[in-house]
Amino acid sequence: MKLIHFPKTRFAELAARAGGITQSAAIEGALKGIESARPESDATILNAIGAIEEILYAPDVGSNLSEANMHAILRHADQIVTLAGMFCYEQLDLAARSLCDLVDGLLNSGQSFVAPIDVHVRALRLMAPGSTSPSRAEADKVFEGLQKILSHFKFISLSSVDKSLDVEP
Amino acid sequence: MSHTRINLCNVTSLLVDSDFYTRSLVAQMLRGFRMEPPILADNGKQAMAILQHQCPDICIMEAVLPDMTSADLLHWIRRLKGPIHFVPTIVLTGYTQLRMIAAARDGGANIIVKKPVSPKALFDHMLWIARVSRPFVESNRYIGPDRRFRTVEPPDGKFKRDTDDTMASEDADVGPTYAQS
Repeated sequence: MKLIHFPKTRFAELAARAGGITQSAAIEGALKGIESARPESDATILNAIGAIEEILYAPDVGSNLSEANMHAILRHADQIVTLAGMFCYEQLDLAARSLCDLVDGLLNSGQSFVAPIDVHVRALRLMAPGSTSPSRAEADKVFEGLQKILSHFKFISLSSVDKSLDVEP
Repeated sequence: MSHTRINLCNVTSLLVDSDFYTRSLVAQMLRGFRMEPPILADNGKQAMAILQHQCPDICIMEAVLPDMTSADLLHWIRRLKGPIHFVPTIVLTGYTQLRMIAAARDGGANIIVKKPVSPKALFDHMLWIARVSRPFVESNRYIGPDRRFRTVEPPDGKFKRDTDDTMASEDADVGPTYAQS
C-alpha cells in the first residue's frame, strides 16, 4: 500500500504570512547572537584540546590507546570541527578534520597508535584560538605533514563519504 | 534571495542535541531568525516525551543522540497520529557522523545539514522547506517526504514504474532504487 499526501504544514503556513524578515536581516540577527558566544566557544575548544591531551598523555598510556579512548578523542575532535567552522577558525578546522579522519581510519582498521594522533594534537594546539597563529606558509607545511600521515595509512577523508548522496536541495 | 522575506514569528521548534553548547548556538540562531525560543531536549527519549504533549512547527535534531539515532526518532515521529506526523525535520550531522546521512534520509528527514551549521545554511534550508512543497509518502517500508530531489527521466533502457521493473527484470539485478514502496 502506498499513500501520497500533499500536506500544508503549519510551518509553511506561518512562514508564508505577510511581513517577516529578509535573509540578510535574519543572518545578521543570528550572527549577532552567536558572536556574543565566541569567548565561550574559544574556551570550549581549548577544553576539548585539553581533554584530548589528557587522554593522550595519561601515565598509563603506552604507544596504543583503548577503543573507548579513541572514541572519546573522536567526539572531542568533532566538537572542535563544529565550533572552529562556526567561528571561522579555518586552520584549526582543517587540523581537527584531519584528526577526525585519522582516528576514524584507525578505529575502522583496528589500529590505535598514539604517535600520529600526538602530531595532530600538537597542530591543534598551534592553531587554537589565542595562540600565535602560524603564517599561511607555515600552516601549509603543517598540513602537508598531516596529509602525509593520512596518506601513509591510506585513509580517506570523511568528507568524501557524503559526496554520492543528495543532501542539498 | 537576500530580499526574499519569510515570517518566522511565533514559529515553535524542538531542538534535540546532546551537546549543550551546540544546542545553545543553534538556539541563538533561531532567536536571530525571530522564532520563538526552542523547546530543548538532549536525548531521544526526552524528545519523545515532549512530542507526546506538544506539536512544534519544526524539529531540528542531531544525527546521533546518546540513546538513539535521529533515524530511530524520525521513524517514531513519522508513525505518530495527527499533524506531528508531517512535521518538517532538519537533521544536523557532525563531521564524524556523515555516514548517518543515508539513515536519516531513509528515516524520513526533510533535509540534512552538515555541521558546522552557518546561520545562512540553516536559514536557507528552512526557507526551502517552507517554500518547496514535497509530496509526503506513506508506504510499508517508508514514511516521510519524497526522497527524490532530482526530476530526471530514467536512463535509457530502464523502465519507469515498479511494476515494469518487476515484469522486466526478474533475472536482472537493478540494484537499489528509491522506489517508495
